[in-house]
Order: sequence, then C-alpha cells, then structure tokens
Amino acid sequence: MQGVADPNLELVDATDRKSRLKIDTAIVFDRRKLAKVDTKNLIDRYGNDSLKAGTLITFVEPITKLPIHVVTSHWPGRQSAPEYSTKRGKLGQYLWQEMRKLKKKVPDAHIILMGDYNDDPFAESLASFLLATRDRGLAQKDSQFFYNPFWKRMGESTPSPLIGNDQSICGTHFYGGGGTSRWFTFDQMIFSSSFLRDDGAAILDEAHSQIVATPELRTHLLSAKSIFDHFPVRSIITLRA
Amino acid sequence: MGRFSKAFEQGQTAAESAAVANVELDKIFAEMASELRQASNGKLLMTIESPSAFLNMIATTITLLSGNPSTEPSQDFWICAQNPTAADSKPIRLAGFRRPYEGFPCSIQYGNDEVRCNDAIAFAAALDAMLKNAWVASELHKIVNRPPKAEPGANAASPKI
Repeated sequence: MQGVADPNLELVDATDRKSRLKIDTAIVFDRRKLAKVDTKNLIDRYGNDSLKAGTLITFVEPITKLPIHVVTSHWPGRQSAPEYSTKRGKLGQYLWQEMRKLKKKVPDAHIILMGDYNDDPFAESLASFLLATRDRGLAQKDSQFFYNPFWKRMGESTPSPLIGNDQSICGTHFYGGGGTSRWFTFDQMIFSSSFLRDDGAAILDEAHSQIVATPELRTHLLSAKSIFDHFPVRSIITLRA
Repeated sequence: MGRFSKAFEQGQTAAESAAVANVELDKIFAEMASELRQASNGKLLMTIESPSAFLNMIATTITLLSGNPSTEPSQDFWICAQNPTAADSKPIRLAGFRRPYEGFPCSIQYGNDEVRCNDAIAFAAALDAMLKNAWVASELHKIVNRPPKAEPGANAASPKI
C-alpha cells in the first residue's frame, strides 16, 4: 500500500498468521466510493478441524447508503482437501447458511462472494451446496440461489488456434501437471439475486465479469519458472442513485 | 406403526439427543469456568447469561402485536466474565453465544470471529481459541485486576483512645 501512495485507497487486511488457522485474504478499496462498516471471519469447526469459509466485510456506499456485503475466501488447496473431500461441501454449505442468516437480517441483501475457491464453478461445493448457479433466470426468480457469471469463463476464450497467434486461455489458474485439464477456473465472483433485478439498487454489469489475462500475465502464468499462477478476475456493478 | 406415531417416536429420539448435547455443552463450559476460577485464585467467574428480561419483554410484545406468536425459546446468549472478589463485580460480555435448542451446532462470536461448533470437541477448541484471543485476554486481565472489595470495617474511623 505504501508503494501505491494513493491516500484514497484503504486496506482491509484480514490476514492472520498468529493462530494455527491462517486467514490470508485482504481487500483494497477506494474510500471515496465505499465506507467499511464491519468485518467478520466465518469459521466452521468439526472436532479438531477448522474450516475458514471466508471473511465477511460490510461496506456502505456513501451516496445511496446501500450496504454491500463482500465475502472474501481462500478455500483449502486440493492437496489438503482433495476434489471430492467432504470438507469442500461443508464449506459451501456453511457459507450458504451464513448468507441465509444475513438475508434474514437484511432482506434483499447485496452480497458478493469472491476469491480463490480451489474449486471450479461446477464443483459440488459451489454449484450444489452454495447454490451458485449458471442459470441467471433461476437466480432472479429465487433468492436462495446465487448467480455465478464465471461459469462462462471455463472454456477456451478464442474459438480456434488457427486465427493467428493463439492467446487463448480457459480458466484463471494454470497447473501444468493437471490430469484432465491444465486449466481451472478457481477464481470467481458470485452475486446474490438482488444484483439481477431491473429495479434493484445495484445491478451486475455482467459483460465485465472477466478474467484479466493480458499477454504479459499469460506469459508469467505459463512459465514454469514463475510463481505467478492465477489470473486476476474482475466484475463491475452499477449503482442507482 | 402409523405415520404420526412414527413421527412421535422420532421426535422423542431428537429430544433425547438434544438433552445429551446440552449436557455436553454445559459440562465443557463448567470445566472451563472451573479451571479459570482456579487459575485466577477465585477472581474470574465465567457465566452464560441470557438476554435481559427487558429485551425479552419487548420481543414478546412485538411478537404478539405482529400476530405471529412463537413459543420457541431464545437462542442468543452472552459468555460473560466477572470478578466476585472485586468492588466492581459487574459482569462484562466477552462473546456472543448462539445456542439452538438442539445444542449443536452452536456458535461463538468475539472480536472479528464467528465460529460455528458442530460438536463437543469443536466447542472446547473454540473456547480455547477464544481465551487466546488478544482482546478477550486483555478484558480478562482487566477484570482480574479490578480493585478488591473493601474489608468490612476497613473504612471506619479508628476509635479514639
């Protein structure tokens, strides 16, 4: 942050390496656009095992006074919790239950879930337990669902390698040793149905839910020598005054 | 066996499981309270407090006025600490404690953490983590170091000889 030297930027640093349960997410926000209200780490314990589902940060947009709830997550990697581990389902279920509690307290809550889930959009944890659907109409109709625009970011980004210099990507994370695919869409932004209503206070501008894959980042991502292995992702929401 | 008698039987089993879970919860909390009391030479009394009677009364009134009566008992409590040997023995709230009728999953909220505990081992581990939290620890430190109660007669003027 010191290097950026922008007085309008503020850091919400949830990182905590003092305890055994490490939280390693942070948010940088523009304090002219948002005011931070509250931070809460969501932790689920089974026996001696702890699962960190995410950090809930509540912001308020100063002009409309609209509260926006952001949950940042970094779910366990596939080495500590393999693809079909029950832990992954528990994480999705717990996060969904916590968000249901929030929606009870704040009807029509504007919730954005984001982070590195170490799961693709079709994984049971996200699609079945968190109810992060690819079906926008269903999410619009039924607020128990979340809408996940990153379903459409799983395939090759360009149609054919024959159209020139192939810069295609098919995910946000590249792992050369992958069995059935070397590409994974682990980094996602997922939205509550309140962002999908025509008359809503905030609307998801879905065309901008994208993977930021510049040629330079792509080179780093595909290099075996580089430690850079995740593309950034972005989304835009529009607020109504 | 008919549909309702089966449901009745399942309900009785659920009630038994809830009773067992609540006994487990209380036992773990009592163990923590006892250890802290010993470690602090009687200066720390840990309790689970229910929301105030006043708040309960308001909630009941609102419920009745809304025409949606409910008999479900409150699930929200506080984990409190006080120093019974201090002049100021008022309890302070260390953490929120949500305890459903079934016992588990319960949850503890303190500082920036909300921890859901799905079983007795998890609850014990969560209390352990709560005591290690810097804010909770400093509050406990303050309570233990509150000035003690005055001894009876300590402030009385010395008799003139």
